[in-house]
Amino acid sequence: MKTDVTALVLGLVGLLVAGLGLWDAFGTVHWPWVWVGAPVALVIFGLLGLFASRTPP
Amino acid sequence: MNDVPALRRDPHAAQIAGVCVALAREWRIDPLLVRLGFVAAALITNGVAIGAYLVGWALIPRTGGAGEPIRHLLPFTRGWSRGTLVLAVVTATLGGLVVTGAGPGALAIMGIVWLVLRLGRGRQSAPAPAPSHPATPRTEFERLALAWQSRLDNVDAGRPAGWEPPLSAATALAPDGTRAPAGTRRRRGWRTWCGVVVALGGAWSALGVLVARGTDVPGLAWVASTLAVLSLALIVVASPGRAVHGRPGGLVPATVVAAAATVTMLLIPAPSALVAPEMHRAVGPVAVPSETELPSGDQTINLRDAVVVQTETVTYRQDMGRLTVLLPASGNVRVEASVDVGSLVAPDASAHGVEQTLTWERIDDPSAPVLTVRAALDVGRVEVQP
Repeated sequence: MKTDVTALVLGLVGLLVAGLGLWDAFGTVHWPWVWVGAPVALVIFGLLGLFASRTPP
Repeated sequence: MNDVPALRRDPHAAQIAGVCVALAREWRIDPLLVRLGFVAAALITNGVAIGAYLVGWALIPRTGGAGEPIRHLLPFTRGWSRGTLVLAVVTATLGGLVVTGAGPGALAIMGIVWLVLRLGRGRQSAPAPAPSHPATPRTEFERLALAWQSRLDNVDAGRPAGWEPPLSAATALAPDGTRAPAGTRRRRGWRTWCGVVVALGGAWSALGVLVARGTDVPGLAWVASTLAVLSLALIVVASPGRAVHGRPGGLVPATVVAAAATVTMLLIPAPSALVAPEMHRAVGPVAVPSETELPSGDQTINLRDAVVVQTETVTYRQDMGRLTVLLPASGNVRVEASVDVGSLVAPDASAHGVEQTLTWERIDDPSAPVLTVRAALDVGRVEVQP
């Protein structure tokens, strides 16, 4: 059984963007945080994808 | 020819010419990622990525084909070495892009070509060949035979022997290595979409309740909540137990469209803020508040008629948009502009990028008072006009 890594990473990125959108809709986005947090989140999602796509030896 | 490339374009898996699938198989990743990457690259590079795609099509042979397509189209290239051929095709493509100024127009043309090919293929394509091995192994021997046959098929198709098909609806594998029955995949897809509809209804109902209670719910909230539901659905179908049935058709494109709409609405201010640029006028001695928070959109700080009678500092802050600063016609003025992401433009200086600052001053009389205008913008452009 394998995780569908593409769907997982796309879903996480989409969730991140959706969170930003809802934040902007109901509050004031603190963009300096976003400029730092978004790349960090992308790195984490990428690492998560790499980890999930590992094939057992 | 000894140096036959390992890359092969599989016309059965192709959306346009199979370049993305060939690269995805070479890199052993999902073709969807390569396709999304190509579209993003085409937009970012003003169409140059389309040229790269054309190069790929010209130089990557089809599965079962004898050689590079360009050698069939231009017979005089058959005697060329592969290195010469690659150099010639890349040079010609780049030259063509420069001459035609490829960009969004080229992307639109490519989209039309894709539509034509897609519609045409529906009439012309032959049915997929029947599998040469049993779909559901009943014994350990059959399972091993199936795996061996799969390796042979990969070698025959020019793919790495251990290549595994992506987990899409068309090629989903069950946990025991077998293909999930098509009927099961369809049922799972519909069930997922039903769940998405239910979740969307719930999210929109919650927003509707907020509206009914008098809360201002902007359009962005509706789009972002839709994206959140679709993204959650993608995460759910990514789990190993669900992945064997493949992704429900249309879920990824719907998510990408919702994400693009959300990002667009996030980065572009609402139309109401763009209708009429607001003018913040100060006449006579500068007596505006020392710090002013401006709404997003196009804003103009008009200090043309201001008279500098004392040394003071006024600060304007804005989240997003374009801020134009019209300075007093006379007197000592200093502008300290900063932007988190965007550009700063002054008469003799400019800065673009992230975390930029720019200082501009006009000191007519060093002994006279100085008005310091600070303009701090999160995202957008600050323009100083003396």
